[in-house]
Amino acid sequence: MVGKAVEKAGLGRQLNPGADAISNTTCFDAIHLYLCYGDWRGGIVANIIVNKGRHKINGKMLVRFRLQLYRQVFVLMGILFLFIFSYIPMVGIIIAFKNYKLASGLLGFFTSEWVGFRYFTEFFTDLNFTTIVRNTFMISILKLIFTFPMPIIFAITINEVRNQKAKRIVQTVSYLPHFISWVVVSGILFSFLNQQNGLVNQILVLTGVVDAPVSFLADPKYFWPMVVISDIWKEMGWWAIIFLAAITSIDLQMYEAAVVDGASRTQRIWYITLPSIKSTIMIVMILSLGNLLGGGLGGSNFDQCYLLGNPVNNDVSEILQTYVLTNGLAQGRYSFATAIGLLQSVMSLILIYTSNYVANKLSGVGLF
Amino acid sequence: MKRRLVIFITVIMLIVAVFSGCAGKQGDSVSGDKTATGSSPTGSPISSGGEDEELTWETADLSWKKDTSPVTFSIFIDFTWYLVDTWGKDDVSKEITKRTGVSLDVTKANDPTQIQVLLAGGELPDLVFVARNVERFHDPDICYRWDELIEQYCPEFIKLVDPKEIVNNTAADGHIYTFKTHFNDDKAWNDPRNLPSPGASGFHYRKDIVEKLGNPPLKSLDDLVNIFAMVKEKYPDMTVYIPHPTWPTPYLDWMGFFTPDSKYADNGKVYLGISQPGLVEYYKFFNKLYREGYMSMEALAYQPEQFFQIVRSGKAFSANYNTGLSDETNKVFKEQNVDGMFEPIMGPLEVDGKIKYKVLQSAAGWASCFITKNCKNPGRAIRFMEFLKSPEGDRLTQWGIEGVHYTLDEEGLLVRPEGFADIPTQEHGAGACWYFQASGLGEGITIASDPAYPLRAKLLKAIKPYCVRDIGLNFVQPVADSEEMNILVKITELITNTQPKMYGASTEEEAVTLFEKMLQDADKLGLKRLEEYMTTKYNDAMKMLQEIKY
Repeated sequence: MVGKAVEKAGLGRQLNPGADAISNTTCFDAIHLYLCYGDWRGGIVANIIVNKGRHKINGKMLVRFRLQLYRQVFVLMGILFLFIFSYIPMVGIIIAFKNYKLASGLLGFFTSEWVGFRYFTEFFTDLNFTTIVRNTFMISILKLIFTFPMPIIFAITINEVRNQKAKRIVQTVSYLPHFISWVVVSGILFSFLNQQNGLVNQILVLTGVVDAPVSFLADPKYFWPMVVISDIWKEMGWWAIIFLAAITSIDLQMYEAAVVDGASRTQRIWYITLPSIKSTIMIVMILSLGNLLGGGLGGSNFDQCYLLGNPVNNDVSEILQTYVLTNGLAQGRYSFATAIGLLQSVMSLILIYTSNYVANKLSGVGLF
Repeated sequence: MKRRLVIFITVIMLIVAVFSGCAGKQGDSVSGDKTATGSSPTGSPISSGGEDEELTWETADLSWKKDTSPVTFSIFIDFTWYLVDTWGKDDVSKEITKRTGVSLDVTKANDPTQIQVLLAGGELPDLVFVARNVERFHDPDICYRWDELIEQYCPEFIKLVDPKEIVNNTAADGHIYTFKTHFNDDKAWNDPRNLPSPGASGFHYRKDIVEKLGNPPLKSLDDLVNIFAMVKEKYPDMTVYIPHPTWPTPYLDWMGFFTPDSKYADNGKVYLGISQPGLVEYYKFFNKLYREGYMSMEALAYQPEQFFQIVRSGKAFSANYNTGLSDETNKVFKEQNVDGMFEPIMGPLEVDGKIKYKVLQSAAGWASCFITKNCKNPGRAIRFMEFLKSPEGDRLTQWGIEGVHYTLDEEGLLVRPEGFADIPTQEHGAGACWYFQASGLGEGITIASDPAYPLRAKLLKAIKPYCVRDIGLNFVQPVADSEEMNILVKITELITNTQPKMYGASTEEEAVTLFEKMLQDADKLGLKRLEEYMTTKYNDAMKMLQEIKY
């Protein structure tokens, strides 16, 4: 049933090879599709597919809605949440074009005078504009290049480990850093990297790698590597879970067939594992691109630059979000801060649409 | 702008005229006493303005004494470093409640933007205690005007306050929204017991190490650099000098400069510190310290707590911070059995064979406590402020309970009971806790008498003759949300970001080039416009101050 529904919806190509060969049990269909995609996004896609197919089969929407009421309540709560916390606050965007003063309170959103693009112009003509935009994009792109493939590689590596105990230990240890806040991570980094008595510097000096301790925390040339490496350490294990889930749903018969055909382990990874989780990779990639300026997968640009940035490395650590805080929010310049925030959102929107379009064209997989 | 100025001057003139009129009836000599000590902790007698009975802070029927029924006010304290956040746990807050009936429900700031959110959301508590962007609160829609509240609920209050303080606290719209804490008029400043703000820059070094080096001379900046060289050679594992990441350095003071983001007046014109002729010499000197290996750039990247961690580890020879670092570090050394002793360099060091030392001291006061429009009982709130402003309230909040936390000696200095220095501030509650109307002199006496900070008191006494105070500078701060304010914020940011680059330049030439670029960028940001604005405000203020014979 699901196979047909998928075909009718024209989305069959989005599913991995196991998706067509699943049972007709409705509930199981959704779960299976969820596993095929490996995460909640897969679940959403599966839901759309299943519901779309069924809609055409019986066409009694209200009756179905009543039957699914308890499940639909969860969906409605999600929609309500988005509406209240994401859509209603969008009204505030108008203050980017107004001379809003704190003292005027919420009513000031509507009563303040219009100033057009004054704050956008102010930002574009800011002395640090180029540096801030460069830093924001460079840190984001570096993190995308280095942090995005790492969970995939790590998931595949873990999947190849035969010792189940070792596999579980490695997996658990690797995702635990995700639960440590960036504030704590910055403290750990200080303890490890500082020039006075940092562990790393002590080892480097003792082993003769360097003559004098290195200023990892202040020297601007170490800042970008530091944020990328710390982000990989913190988030790699967590995001690997999604890809591991996708790998788990691959039909084992394909591997067995490949072994019979004499495929090596690398060939099995290259020709079975990677193509099978391609759709998951693409969807996660699109979502990461959408949040590119926020820091991609982990969304950690602000935390890292705020906590690890300092006056000495400011030239490479000041990004849009920290600039909004120091020059906008901390000064009570909410209009200016909103204008910069709006710019960033527009850039993110363009990125997500472009990446979705490109992904659809290249691989046939897209979010919408 | 002109209209505001006219209103401002008119109201000031009216206040002073009314006050002078009242004083005139009692005779000139009383008037003199009144203006000099009206808000001092000693509380001199004051004319009641035409009534037969003399009005003083000790008068029995002062408004705050008339109602001492229990009442609670919520308060937001906009200082993340504040020592207390709970009312009623310490001796002083309990005593305040006992005397006034007032309790406070305290919220301490977690981050610098918290107050902006409260302000924008209209969720300010009854009172706010704040030192940044105070002009935002000079708004009748946000805060009650104290002059109006006083007139309605405690008319004698205004007569008890030093007129100079009234002038100092009159906002651009001609009204009073608060009395800033720690205000010193000239008489209070010149009181021999009074001392400069403990927040002045201090340079602290390991006295024990200097003794081991044979007590080389330390009279000039060159001598200091010479000692640095000796320490570097004899103690290679030691950090020769660690600057506090945010505090201004005393080198500026020794070299005769103000901090680059401060304001100073010269021949009737107001400048930002960045414009001081020859300031580049300071950056060249600091850069030399870096290039010769006496300090690491990483120190400027530390958080304040990381700075203290290193200083207290005993691995730093010298450091700069405020004036109390030596006392605080020596205490930690003693507790942790670290073999060492810090001492501040007392007073000036010669530069190029001359004493150029000068320290800019605020003549305006420090923080402001506002009564917001959300306060349901502004009458009790302003009367509570009257109590805090009174010598009784001032002594209680700054010194503690007489007979328990202090007694006064013949000179009027505090004598603390034995072991007082070991009691945490959170237990006794005196000092930086509930001093929302503290006087400058009260704080000066506290500092001069503090048994826990003998070196600080000595250093501040040495600094005092070199302090520069200019009342006119109190009036030059740009108004919140104005274009000039934006310029000031951006230039301050420019200085903050460029300074480390100049300090850490690989050559002196590079440091000079960076300095010149900083000046050019400051010009592009509108430095001239800002200085012209400040000069206009300064001259208007000076004219007004002259007219009322300030």
